[in-house]
Amino acid sequence: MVIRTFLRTWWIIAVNNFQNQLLTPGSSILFIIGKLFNFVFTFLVIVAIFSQIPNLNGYSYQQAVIVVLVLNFLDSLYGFLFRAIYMFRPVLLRGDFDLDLLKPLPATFRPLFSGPDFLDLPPLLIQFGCIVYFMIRYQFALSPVSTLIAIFTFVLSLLLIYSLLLIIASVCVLTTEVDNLVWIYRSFIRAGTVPTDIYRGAFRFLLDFVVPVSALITIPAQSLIGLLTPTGLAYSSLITLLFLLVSHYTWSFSLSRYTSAGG
Amino acid sequence: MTKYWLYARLQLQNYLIYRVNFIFWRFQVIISFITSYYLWQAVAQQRGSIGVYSLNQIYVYFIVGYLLRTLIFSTRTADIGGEIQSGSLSGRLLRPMGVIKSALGLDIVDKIFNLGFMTLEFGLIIYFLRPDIVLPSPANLLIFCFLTLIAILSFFFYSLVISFFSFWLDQAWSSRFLLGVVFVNLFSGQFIPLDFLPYPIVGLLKFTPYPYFFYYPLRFWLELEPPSRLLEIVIPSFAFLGLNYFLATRLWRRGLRQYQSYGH
Repeated sequence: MVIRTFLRTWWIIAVNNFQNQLLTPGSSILFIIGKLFNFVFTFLVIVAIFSQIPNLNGYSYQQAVIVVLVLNFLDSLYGFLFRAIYMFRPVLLRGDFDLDLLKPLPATFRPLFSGPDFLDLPPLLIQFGCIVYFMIRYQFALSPVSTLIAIFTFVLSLLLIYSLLLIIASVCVLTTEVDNLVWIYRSFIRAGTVPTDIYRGAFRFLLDFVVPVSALITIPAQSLIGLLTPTGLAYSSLITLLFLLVSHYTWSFSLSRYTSAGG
Repeated sequence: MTKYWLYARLQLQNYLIYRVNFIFWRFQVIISFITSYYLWQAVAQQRGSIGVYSLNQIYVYFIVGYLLRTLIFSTRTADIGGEIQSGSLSGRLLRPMGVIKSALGLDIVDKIFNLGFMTLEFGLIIYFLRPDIVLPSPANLLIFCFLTLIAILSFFFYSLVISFFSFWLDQAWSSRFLLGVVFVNLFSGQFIPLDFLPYPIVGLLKFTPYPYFFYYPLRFWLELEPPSRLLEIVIPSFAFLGLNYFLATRLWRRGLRQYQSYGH
C-alpha cells in the first residue's frame, strides 16, 4: 500500500516537474548542453591520459573507456532520481519539512525522491547507448550469469548512493547544510573517472570505505569488462549493507532532533 | 568609499551566520583539489612524467592552481542573477551605490576571506604532501602575478555578464551552469592541463577567455612558456578583459531598461 502511494505520488510529481521544465525550453536546453559537455570532456580526459601512457595500472584503453562511460551513466541516473536533495535546504530553512512529515509517505520522500530531473534523461539515454555500442565494439561479451551479476552490482550501487544521500540529508536536518556536502560527494565521484585501483594510501582508503566510489562506480564497471572478483563483489555487498544501516540510523536520529525552527 | 567598505563588512558578517556552510565549502574545495592531485599523481607516477610535465611539475600545477582557484573563481557575482530572477535586485537598486562597484567590493572581501582560510589549508597541504615547489624566476613570477590580476578582473566581469543574462532568461541558474560552471571548469585547465587535449581543441580554446583565467598564468609559473610568447598571451588576456568589461556594462544598462522586478 505504502509502495503504491509512493509510486503514484512520485509519478504525479515527476509529470509536474517535466511540465515545469517544458515551460522554460531555452534554459532546459542550456542545462542539457552543459551535461553533454561534461560527458564528452570526461571521455576526453581518458583519451588524453592514454595519449601519454600505454596502459593505466594494467587497464587497457578499452577498459578505461567503459569505466568512464559507467561513471557518466550512473551520475546521470542518480541525478535523474535524486535531484531533490539539492532543493532540501530551502525546505528546512523555511521550517516546512514538518508539513511533509504529516503526509502518508516515507519521510525520505521529500529529501530524495520529490524532484526527478528529466534534463538528465537525454544524457542518460546517450550514455546507455554508448555503453552498449562500446561493449559490442570492444567485444566485451557478457554471459547470462555475468549479466545477472552486473545488474546486481548496479543495484548495489543504487542502494549505496541512496544511503550516502540519506546521510547527507540527515546532516542537513541537523545543520541546515546540504549544498556543499553534495559537492564534496561529487568531488569524490570525479575520482571514479579512472578505476579506483590505481590510487594508493589514505586516498584509496577514503574511496573504498568513506565515500565508496569503488563500490559506486568501479565495481559495476568491472562487472561489465570481466574484471570483477568474488572479493570485489563481497566488498560491494558488505559496504552497501553497512551504509544502508548507518544511513537509516542517522536519518532516524536526525528526525528525532528536527525542531521545525527553520534557520 | 566608506559605504562600500561598510557594505563589504556586512557581507563578512553574513558569512559568519552560516559558519558550517562556509566550513563545508572550504572542505569541498580541498577535496576537489585532492581528487585532481591524486588522479594525476596516479597517472604520472607510471612514467615519472606526462607530456612536457615532470612529476613535480604536475604536482605544482595543481597545488599552485589551488591558490589560483581561490583568487580567481571565488565570487559573489552569481547571486545577482538570482536577485534579477526573484525581483530582489530592487533592494540593491535602492541603495545609494553602484551595483557593479558594490559587487567588486563584495568580491574583494570574499577573496580575502577565502584567502585567509586557504592559507591555513595550503599550510596543511604542504605539510602532508611535502611537494617540491620550485619558485619561478623573478621575471616569470612577475608575469604570473600580472596575468593573475588580469584574470581576476576578467573573470569578475565575465561572471557579471552571465548574471546579467538573467534579465532575458527565465532561469538564472541555466546560463550560470553552462557558462560559469561547466565551461569554466572544463576549459580553463582546472581538471587537466589543456595541452593534454587533442590539438584542434586546444587551438580552438585559445580564442575563448577560459585558458587565460587559469592555464596560461600557471604555464608561466612552471616556466613552460618562453618569453617570446608573452605578448601572444598578454594581448588576448587584455582583449578578453576589455570585452568582458564592455559586455558587462552594456548588458547592465540594457537589462535595467527592461527590468520589471516582478520576480518568478
